[in-house]
Amino acid sequence: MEKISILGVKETIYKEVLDNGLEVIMYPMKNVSDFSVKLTTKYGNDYVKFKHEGDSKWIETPFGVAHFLEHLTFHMDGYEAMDVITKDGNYSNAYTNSDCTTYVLSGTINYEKDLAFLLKYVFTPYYTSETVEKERGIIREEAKRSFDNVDNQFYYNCKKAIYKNNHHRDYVTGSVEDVDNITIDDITNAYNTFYKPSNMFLVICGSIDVDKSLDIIKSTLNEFDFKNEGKVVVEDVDEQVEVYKHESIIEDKVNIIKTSVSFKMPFSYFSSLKLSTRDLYRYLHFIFTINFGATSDFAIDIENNNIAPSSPSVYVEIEDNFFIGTIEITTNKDKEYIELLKKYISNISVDEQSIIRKRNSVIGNYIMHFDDSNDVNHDIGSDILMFGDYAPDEMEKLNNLDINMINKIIKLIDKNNYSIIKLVPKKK
Amino acid sequence: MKGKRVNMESKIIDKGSYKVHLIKNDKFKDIQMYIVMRMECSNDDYKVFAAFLGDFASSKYFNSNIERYRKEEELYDTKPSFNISHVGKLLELRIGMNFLNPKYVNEEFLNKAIEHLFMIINNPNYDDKCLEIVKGKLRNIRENIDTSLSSKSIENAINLGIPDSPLAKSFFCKEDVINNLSISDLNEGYNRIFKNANVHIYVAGDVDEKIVNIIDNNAKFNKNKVSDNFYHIEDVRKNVLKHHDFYDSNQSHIVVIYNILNNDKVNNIDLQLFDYILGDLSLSSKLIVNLRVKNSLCYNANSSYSKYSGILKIYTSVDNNNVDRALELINLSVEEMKNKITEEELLTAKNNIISECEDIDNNNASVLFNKINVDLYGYEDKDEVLSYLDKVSINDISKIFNNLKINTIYILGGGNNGKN
Repeated sequence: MEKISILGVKETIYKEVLDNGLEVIMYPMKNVSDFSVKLTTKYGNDYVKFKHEGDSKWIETPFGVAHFLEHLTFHMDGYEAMDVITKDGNYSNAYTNSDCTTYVLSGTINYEKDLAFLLKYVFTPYYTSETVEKERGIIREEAKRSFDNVDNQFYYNCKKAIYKNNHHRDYVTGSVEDVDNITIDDITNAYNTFYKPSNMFLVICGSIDVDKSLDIIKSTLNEFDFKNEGKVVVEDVDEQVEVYKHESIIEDKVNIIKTSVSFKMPFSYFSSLKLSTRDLYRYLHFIFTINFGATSDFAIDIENNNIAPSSPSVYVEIEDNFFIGTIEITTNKDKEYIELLKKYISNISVDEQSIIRKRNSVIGNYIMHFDDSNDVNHDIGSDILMFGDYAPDEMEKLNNLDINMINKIIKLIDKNNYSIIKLVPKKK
Repeated sequence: MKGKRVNMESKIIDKGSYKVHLIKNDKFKDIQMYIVMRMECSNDDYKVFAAFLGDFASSKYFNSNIERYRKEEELYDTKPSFNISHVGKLLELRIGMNFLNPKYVNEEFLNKAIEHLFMIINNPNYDDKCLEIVKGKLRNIRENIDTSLSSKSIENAINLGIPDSPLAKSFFCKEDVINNLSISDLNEGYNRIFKNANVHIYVAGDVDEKIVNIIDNNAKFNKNKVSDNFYHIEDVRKNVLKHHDFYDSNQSHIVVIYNILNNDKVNNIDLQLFDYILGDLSLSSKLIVNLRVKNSLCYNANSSYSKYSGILKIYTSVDNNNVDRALELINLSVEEMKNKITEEELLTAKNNIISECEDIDNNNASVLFNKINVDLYGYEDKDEVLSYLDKVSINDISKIFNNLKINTIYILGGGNNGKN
């Protein structure tokens, strides 16, 4: 395996792409007895029209198939995969989002046995009309539970204000109608297209022997005959640069107004800078948290003017070809808040002192994540999904942030391309 | 395969008004610290919570909350936090701080981090501005409970069914209490715990006794004792309370509360195994098998217990038309605990507890969490648990069924005015 040193923390990760195309990353940890394993397929709710390269016919599915498939993957012929792992004393679960589905295994005992079993159950599709109908009922309840959740509804309404067409607008579970319409054919088509090693990656962190783990992975996967049907093509969704709705108001069963402001920043804004997506993401994170986060001058004004009891939450996400920078707060003084925010939006800037302070905070967290098998597994997996690989030089990059580059990026952000979404109490 | 065992040197330093417990190890890149303050609980415990919301929002040493946050960023994201809870009849305030091992920064860092923690907790600044922040924070917490139907249903079930339980002495006040909160309430809450609490400080990481001197230069605690008997014995209801609050929602949320009779005599590990088999989140628990796997009625169903308060509760959410069926299946699941526990279920539960035990030494927070439970709350240590698991039988677990007595069935949902 390729040995990669992580600069600044004296840690090493190992990487190998197997003959069948599966990318395997391992981080052995000396001082712990636990392990965290995550097997991810690059298939999520966004992918509803796809085909293999060269095929003339597109396959179309309803929303919710990726999530439905995640549920069904745990069914084996006559038993449940999750039961096997639970009986061994370990934890097993899975989650689906817009661009991936991840199968999780963690624990402290029976590692080698359950690693092999994880690979076995994910690569052994078993769908019958009985299992499909059984899961359909459970997923309908899961979807209804999520429709009763105010925060969840607000999240999707925010996405619906940002995007006109992009599938981040759509429920990962699908609507109840989508769930009712999903067929075994939809599920089989999705499985055959996306559940193959060349479209997947495996990250293992914790108390593991790298060579032994690799042997287990190879020998388990040798039992399967993976067909190489070529590259998967997913239909691009045409999405406008401008936010879909600049302002929208949603009513729900709340007493305090929640306000979210999201900047839509297509990658194309920054193409002249010739920076990698990873570098841009890092800089945008610093720009947004320094200007609008818990330690910003904006937060001081919020506190001093008694606009809200807590600082805004600020985060930057990558969704397809867009960076989305979001600032959220809960306060009934929503008009004063927006007025103040607009003042700060027109004056986005950073200074050396803020960068040093924020960098220290990021470095502290970055180093401490290497103590936790689950945290570091999450960091590696997120990097692969967002940037294509895991970078060993993050500390170096953090220590060499370039304020001139930050100022160039600030200039390229369209300060008017944001969407304000308010969640307000339902009129009685 | 068993996990790696690493010896951790443990030492107690008695400083008179408090004790410092040092658990020295060089396994991790961080240092974890908890200040555990305990005293008898009361109906005014919400004032202690409000006082600490205020303490963490306003300090005499900083012009604004933001100034404090900025200092914490400079200190490599060293952020003190606090957690408040009831353990039976006790109120526990736990102040925690997790920070980088100074070897990644510099020697002065340790001093600065500890000083920062005590600068906050020793110097609250309860003025009008602070009071408004506290009220705003309490309103946001109340909003989070009221807009989450699972939290709201559990809170309602506890308030209706077991109003005298410590679990009903909520820290999260309702609007009328928030409106009446005053600066003197904040001072009262702060003084009450600082005057009366028994204090233990736990530290894990690559540290030596130097840290004790730094703590001692900053700490201001009183010497207090706390009772060893903190079991709350709940009165048993003659008739089961059944209550349905109608609410416009897609699902109905069901909470069933049971008293655990003679909770002070029930074995900790037996109860943990019982709860695991009945209502763990995996697909093999009785509740999940009966409600989800066999009948597709719900996404989630689980049980949880509070040994010191003598309560076990079950929660699930189902379609509004399936409430009666779900209640039948909840009852069936509990009944199955009497005489239908299988060897396989017991083995699964044991393996999961073994796995949890092996996980204890995998981070400093978990090392301390376990040590506090053993030292202050009488839980068995890892070796005692592992040795007990070797001999526990189905009969030991199923007999807990006889200690359960149903207290309350609460439902939230079903549409407005009882119409779906």
